[in-house]
Amino acid sequence: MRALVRIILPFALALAALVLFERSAAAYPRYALREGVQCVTCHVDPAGGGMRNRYGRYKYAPTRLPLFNSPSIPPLNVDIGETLAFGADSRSMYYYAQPSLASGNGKTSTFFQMESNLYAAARLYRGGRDGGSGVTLYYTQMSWNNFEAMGLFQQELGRPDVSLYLKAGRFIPAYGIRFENHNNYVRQDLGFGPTDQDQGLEFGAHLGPLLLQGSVLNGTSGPAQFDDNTAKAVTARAEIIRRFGKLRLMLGGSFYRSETGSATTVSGISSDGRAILLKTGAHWGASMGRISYMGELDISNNNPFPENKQATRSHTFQSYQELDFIVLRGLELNLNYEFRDPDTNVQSGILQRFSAGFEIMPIPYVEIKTLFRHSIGTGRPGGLAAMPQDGLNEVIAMLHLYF
Amino acid sequence: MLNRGWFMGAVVSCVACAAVPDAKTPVTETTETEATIERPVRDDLARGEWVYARFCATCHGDKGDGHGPTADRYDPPLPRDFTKGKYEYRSTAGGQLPLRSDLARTIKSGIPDTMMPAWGHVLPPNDVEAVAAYIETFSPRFAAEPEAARVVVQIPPEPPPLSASQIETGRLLFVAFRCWECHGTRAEGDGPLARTLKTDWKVPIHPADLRRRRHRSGDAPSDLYRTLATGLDGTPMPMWKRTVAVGREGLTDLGDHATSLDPTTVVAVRGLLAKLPSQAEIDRLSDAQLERVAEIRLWLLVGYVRSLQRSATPLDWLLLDDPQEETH
Repeated sequence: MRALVRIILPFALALAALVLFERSAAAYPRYALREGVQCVTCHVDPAGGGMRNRYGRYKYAPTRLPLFNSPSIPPLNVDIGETLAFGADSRSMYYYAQPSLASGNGKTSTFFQMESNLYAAARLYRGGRDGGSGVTLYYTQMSWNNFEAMGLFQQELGRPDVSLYLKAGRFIPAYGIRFENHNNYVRQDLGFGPTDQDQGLEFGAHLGPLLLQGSVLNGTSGPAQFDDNTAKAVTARAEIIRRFGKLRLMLGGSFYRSETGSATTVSGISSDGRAILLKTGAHWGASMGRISYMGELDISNNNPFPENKQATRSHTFQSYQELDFIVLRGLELNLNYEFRDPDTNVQSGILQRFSAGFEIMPIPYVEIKTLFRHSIGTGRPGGLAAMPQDGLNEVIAMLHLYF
Repeated sequence: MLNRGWFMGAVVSCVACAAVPDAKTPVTETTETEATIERPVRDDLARGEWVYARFCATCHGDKGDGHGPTADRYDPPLPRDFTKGKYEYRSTAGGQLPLRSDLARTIKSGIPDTMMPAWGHVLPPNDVEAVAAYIETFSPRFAAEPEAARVVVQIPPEPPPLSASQIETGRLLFVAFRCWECHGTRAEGDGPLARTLKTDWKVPIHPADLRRRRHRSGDAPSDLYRTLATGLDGTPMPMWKRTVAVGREGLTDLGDHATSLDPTTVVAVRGLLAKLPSQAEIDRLSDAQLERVAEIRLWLLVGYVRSLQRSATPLDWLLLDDPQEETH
């Protein structure tokens, strides 16, 4: 049995890591912070991430990001007329992991096609000043048979940066910072990972530097399904990004409440089958010159038996800190720190992750990312299986092509 | 000896303007602006429209009115409204349209410290030309005022580097011409009138901090000369080429805010004015001599502005510069 664990554990661990790494294309929030603008400046989806709009694709990506840009690289054209546009993201990864568990000396070395997304956006109606208002059909076909689909109704109110939007379809709820690394604790653990699309309505208001968002969702994230109960999840998110000369500041807060969930009925505790899941978070950031810093802190409260005051509630705590330094345009140093306490009532199970890496954008629409990550677990009460990530060292090299 | 001769010719005996600095290699721009540029053929305009729609319209707007979807998302200056037919960065006289080569230069080089990137690093030259031609179609002025009819302000050959005393003369001219009222006594863009300035569209505008290491219309001496000589249409920055060749009587009034000047500087300015020709002497000059006086004074001002340019500090590198504006 012990030998079996030695053989299987590293593979299982690696597989779990790879699955966790699979993600939908997300924005690089530090770009928005650095410019002091909202994600919608460069992305079709007002919540950020995914397909880039014309500004993001034709102006920001080729002029503000790459190490080298040259007129010898012909301008990209992915528009078909004025109404239809395509985009794509492909992330190919090499992954190396060395579990340093006492009983395991296995290593993992593998290639992995982490992400393959194809986007299409059609402007069904284009109105307002320079098409700032309109109706857009937006569809993303992702790897792992996953997809996002939404209709976007946008209405400018006099100025491009003052607008309302309504989104209907299947998408990842707006919560916290939509970090590109979807397997970090404040995304994956909280249920906003790459396969956590939910279905419903999202509405938002861009009021200059302030973005207000709210949504009503089924509360059944994961594979697309027909939700046949009346319970719903609601979210709210507010974020302000302001420029003060060269300094940019970001401050935001998020809230998620879901009445769905599959409450496990425990003998002796009555349950109507509903569980209440609350998530509350704050995020912030500052950027000046070459340095950007962003952080997020979240607490979730899982109450599987809300009608029973005696029942135990569990609380989790996650935080993520990111420091980025532009060595020169197209070459960045990224440092991250993550903290995760899966149950604050228990003294064990705490995980911390430290990562450092470089992001290189040699030419427009090409990114090379390297990362080293080390995990530290505390407690280890349950032995080997309880904290498999303790002491895990991971090395990642990734080629990201996008347009 | 050469510099001294120029200095003396410029400041002390500028009536005769006998001692003119030797020319270096003629400024390329002069020959560029003299080039005859044909109207674009239909295909060029179609290409220009294609390029404009993808690369420019998100800021400048489909109609070229400066109201693209991202126009209001960034700090001023707002994107140029091409329909007005009024341009800051030109080689033509104040109030006139720019040449197409002026538009192409701005597109190619971008505008530092704004969101206008240097498209010359992305678009091939023929696309830059094509989009410049297309931009002209937004204003009927371009069709009504052909390029051949525009007065191009020639940029004379750049003189040798100025001596310290010549730069000081430039500084005193900066005071005498009251540049400091907008740009500030230390040229930091914080003069007493700085907060009152507005564009022709009633939008507040800040005078340039002349110590910056990158100027919006280019950093080369010829770029600064051009900016001074032509002015910046649509802003309070006048066309100095027309007014700089003035007699000392026109410079004696240092303005309502003169009390804020350093008394030592005022004394030095008075000393300089005493050496400058009177208006009567200026009036007797031929057009060529007047042109020469203007050129010399403008180069002195350019020399002073260039002397202000601060070198980058580690703090600039770390926190103040825009690293994403760097080109490699």
